[in-house]
Amino acid sequence: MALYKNTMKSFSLSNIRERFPIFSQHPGLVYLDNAATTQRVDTMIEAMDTFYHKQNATVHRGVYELSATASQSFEACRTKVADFIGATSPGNIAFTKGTTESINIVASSFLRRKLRPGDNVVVSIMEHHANFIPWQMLCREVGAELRIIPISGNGDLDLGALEPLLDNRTRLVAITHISNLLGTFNPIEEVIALAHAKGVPVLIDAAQSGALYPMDVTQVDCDFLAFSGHKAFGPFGIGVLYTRQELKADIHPYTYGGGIVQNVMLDVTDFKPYPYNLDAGTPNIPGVIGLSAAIDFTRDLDRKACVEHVQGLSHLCRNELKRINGVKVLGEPLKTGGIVSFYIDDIHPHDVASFLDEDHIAVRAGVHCAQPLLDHLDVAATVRASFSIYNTKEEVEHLVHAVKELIKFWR
Amino acid sequence: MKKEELKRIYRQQILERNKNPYHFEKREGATGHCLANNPICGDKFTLYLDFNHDNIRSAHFYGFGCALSKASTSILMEKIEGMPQKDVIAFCKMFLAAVRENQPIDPKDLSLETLAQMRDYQGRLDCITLSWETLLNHLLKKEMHTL
Ligand SMILES: Cc1ncc(COP(=O)(O)O)c(C=O)c1O
Repeated sequence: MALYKNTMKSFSLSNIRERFPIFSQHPGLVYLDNAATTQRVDTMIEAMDTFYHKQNATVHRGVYELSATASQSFEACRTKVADFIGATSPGNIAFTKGTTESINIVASSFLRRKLRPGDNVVVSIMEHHANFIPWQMLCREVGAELRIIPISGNGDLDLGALEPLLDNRTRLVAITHISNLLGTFNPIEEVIALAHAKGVPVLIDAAQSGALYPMDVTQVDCDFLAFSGHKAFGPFGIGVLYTRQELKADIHPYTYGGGIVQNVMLDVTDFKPYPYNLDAGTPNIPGVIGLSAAIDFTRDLDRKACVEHVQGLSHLCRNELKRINGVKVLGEPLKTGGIVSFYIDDIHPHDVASFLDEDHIAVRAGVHCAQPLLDHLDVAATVRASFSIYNTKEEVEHLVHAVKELIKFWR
Repeated sequence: MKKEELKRIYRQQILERNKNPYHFEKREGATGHCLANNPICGDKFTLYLDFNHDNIRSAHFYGFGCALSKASTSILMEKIEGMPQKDVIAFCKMFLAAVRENQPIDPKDLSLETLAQMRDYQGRLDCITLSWETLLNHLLKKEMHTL
C-alpha cells in the first residue's frame, strides 16, 4: 500500500518502516506501544542532529547570524504548526513541554482567574490523568464542581448526558479526542456545538490524535487544543497549545523569567502577549526544530491510506483477540483509533507483558494513567496494544499467537 | 533473560504460588494492616498482621496483583510468621538488598533465591519488592511510635 501522498515516490509500508531507524537497530522488534510514544522518523533525528552540529545557538537573544537563523527556524515552525492544524495565525500557537503542560497552562493561566465557587468544569470519565487531575485540583482549590460525562456500555461517550451537565456556571469543557485506553473517537464537533450553545469554551486533548488525525481547529471551532511531539514521530519534551484568537488575551504567563517581558520595573513587570508570554527561560529549540521535521513527514503522508492501515490493524487485533477463550477486549466503540485494551482471565497484564517481551513484542501493561475509567469499568489493569503506520498485519498475528501460547503455558 | 528461563522460574516458584497463595484472605480483625499499592501497574494488596506482643503470630494478604507480586507477597507472609518484629525488619532489608544490590541471600533459601533472580527481568523489580518495601516501612514507622 502506498502510504505517502507523493505517488511519484510511491512509498510502501516497507519504505515507511525504513524511515524509522529503531527498526534497523532492532530488526525483530514488534513495537505496539505507540499510544505511549511513537518511534522517531529519520528526518526528525537528522534535523535535531544538524541543529546541534551546525546551527546551535539560542533564539530571540543574539543579534549574530547563528542566533538569527535559529530564531527564524523556531518561528517558522510556529507557522508550520498553525498550517498543520488549520489555525488562522502562528500567533495562536504556543510551544510547551507536551500535552500535560499545555493543559496545565490552560488550567492555571486561564481558568484559575475565572473560576468561582459554585462554578463547574466538565470532563469525561475517559480522560487521561493529564486532562483530569488539573481540573480536579483547580475545582477543589476554588470550591467549584467537576462534572463528568459518562460513557455507554460499549465505551462511547454518552453524548446525551452532556447537555444536562452544562449550565450558566459551566466555565470549560475539557475532553479527549481519542481515548488512550479504549481507542474511542469522541464526537468533538457535537461536544463543541453543545458547549458553545451555552457559551462554554472547549479544550481538546489531542495527544492521541495529533499525528494521524490532526483536526482543523478553525473548522471544528475548538478553543484550545493540546498535543505532544513525541506521540507524532517527533521529539520528547516538546508540545503545542493552540488558543483561539479571542481567548489569547486571557492567557497569562505560566512561569516567570526572562524572554517573556516587555518592561521590568522595580514594582511591576509588563509581559509580552500570548504566545510569547509562555516562553519564560530558554526554550526547547532543538525540540521545535525536530517537531517541524516530524510535521513535514506527517504532512507528506497519505493520511487516508495511513488511517485505513492503522484502523485495519486494530480491527484485526480486536477481532482476533476476542475470539480467544479467556481474553476480554475492553469496549466496542463505534469508531476507534489504533488502540486495543484487553486482559486475560487469571493472568495479570504485567505477566502478559513480560512474556510478550520475550517474543520481542512491546506492549504496555497497567493503569495507563486512566484510573477513573478503569475504576468505572471495574478493571484493575489492562494490556494495551497500540498501532502506528509502520506496524504490519504479521505483527498483529504474532501478538495473537503469543497470547494463545501464553494461555496454554499458564493453564 | 531467555524465554525458557522465564518459563522455568514461573513454573518453579510463581505459577503455583499464584494459584495457591499462602493465607490469601481478608482478616479485618488483624491488629495491624498496611496497603501495598503500585498506582502505575494497579497492584494493590492489603497485608494483615496479627501481633502477639512483638511477634508476628499470623500474616495474611488479599488483593489484586500480577503473579510475581502475588508470589512474592505469598512467600513473604509465609516466612515472617512467628518472627519477632525486629527480625522481620532485618529480613526485609536483607531481601531488598539482595534484589536491588545483588547482595547474597542469607540464610540460603531456594524460594527467595529464585524470586530474586527475577530482578534481572526488565521492569519487574517493583513487582517483587512492593510488599517487602511496604511491610518494612510499616514496621519501621511502628517501631518509631513505640520508642
Ligand atoms: C489522551 C492523553 N492525554 C494526555 C497525555 C499526556 O501526554 P504527555 O505525557 O506527552 O504530556 C497522554 C499521554 O499518554 C494521553 O494519551
